[in-house]
Amino acid sequence: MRWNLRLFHLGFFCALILIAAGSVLAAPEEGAVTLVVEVKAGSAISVQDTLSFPEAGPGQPVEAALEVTVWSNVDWQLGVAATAAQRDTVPAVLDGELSVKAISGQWYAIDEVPIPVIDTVSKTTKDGATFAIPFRFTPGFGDEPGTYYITVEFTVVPAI
Amino acid sequence: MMTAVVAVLLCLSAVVRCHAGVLVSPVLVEANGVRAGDEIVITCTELDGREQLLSLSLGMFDQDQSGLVFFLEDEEAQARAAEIIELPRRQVELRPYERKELILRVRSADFASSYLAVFIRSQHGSVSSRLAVLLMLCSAAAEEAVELTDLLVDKHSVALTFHNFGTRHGTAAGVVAAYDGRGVLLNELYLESGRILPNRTRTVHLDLALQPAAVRFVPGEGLGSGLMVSDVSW
Repeated sequence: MRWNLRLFHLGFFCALILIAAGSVLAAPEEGAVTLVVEVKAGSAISVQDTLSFPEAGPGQPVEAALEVTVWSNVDWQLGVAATAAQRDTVPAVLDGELSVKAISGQWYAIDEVPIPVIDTVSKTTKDGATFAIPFRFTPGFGDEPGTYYITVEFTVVPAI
Repeated sequence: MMTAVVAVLLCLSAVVRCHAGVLVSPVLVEANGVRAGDEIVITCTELDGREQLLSLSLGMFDQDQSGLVFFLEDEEAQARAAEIIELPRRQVELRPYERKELILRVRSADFASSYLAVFIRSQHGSVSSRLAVLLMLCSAAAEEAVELTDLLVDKHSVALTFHNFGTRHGTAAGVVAAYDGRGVLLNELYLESGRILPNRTRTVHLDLALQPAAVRFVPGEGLGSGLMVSDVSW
């Protein structure tokens, strides 16, 4: 009986040592700390301030490309709309047509409603993803000679 | 002959080339069990080293059959969005490298699900660009019910169409297996549909290496509900 008790004490002691050793082995190195951070979906965009087309007469299409860079850690898409136009400093309604070439290769006329020029694209690197987006303007006979300013707005949208 | 010469300048968005003007995060918010009074925090960080004036506006969003997002920004949609979400202000100034939190408050959660967009526009003189923050808000009772409704095979490609019969957005996921005429497995591809809004249909296209005789879609465990297993032979 006494031996059984001693064996029980010995076994209990060994078990304690094993548990303690296991704890030490499982514990992180002294001084090591686990950092927890939650990364959220974020986006940013950069485009050049202006894009100048060559001179053109009515019915003569002119093209120019614009660089757009997007940073995003989620898949994204890009839309573009033409929000306003003015001739010199006066608001104007264009008779001509402004078009944009989507990444698919298709040309689309643009107006106030954003249309997708870049369909779903994967998340970017830290350098972002840069695209050259061609625009085309064809003046109409209703557009009097002068310098026209068309405001274009890009919208970056996370893909769902 | 008089030649009308028109020079056109496009005025484009506000940030300087190669510099990201303002970082917005998160740009996608999925909130379940939404209640009136809940808050959503959006962070805007100036990265360009100059003062920025941001303007905020609201709209709704939807998706087409390929899953692309499009916006509803008419007066009715803006009014509906404003009934649900309260913007803290319409304009926000950011000093160089400053970070500001915008706290949006849920005004009303009288819906099963609602899909809103917050537009954060960076203004610099007469030019602008904007980042859309998508809010996918669902009440606790809302449920997804995505089902495979069509499976079409065209030589080396397969098109799977899913419909969400539920009251909140959902996703279909599973394995597409292609077999030859003897039932030998040719190809096995993992498929994820992306989010499907309630009462919306989304079609996903997959390319197959070999022309199959039959294709089967096996939904993943615990993903979606009511997904059918379909065999197609021709």
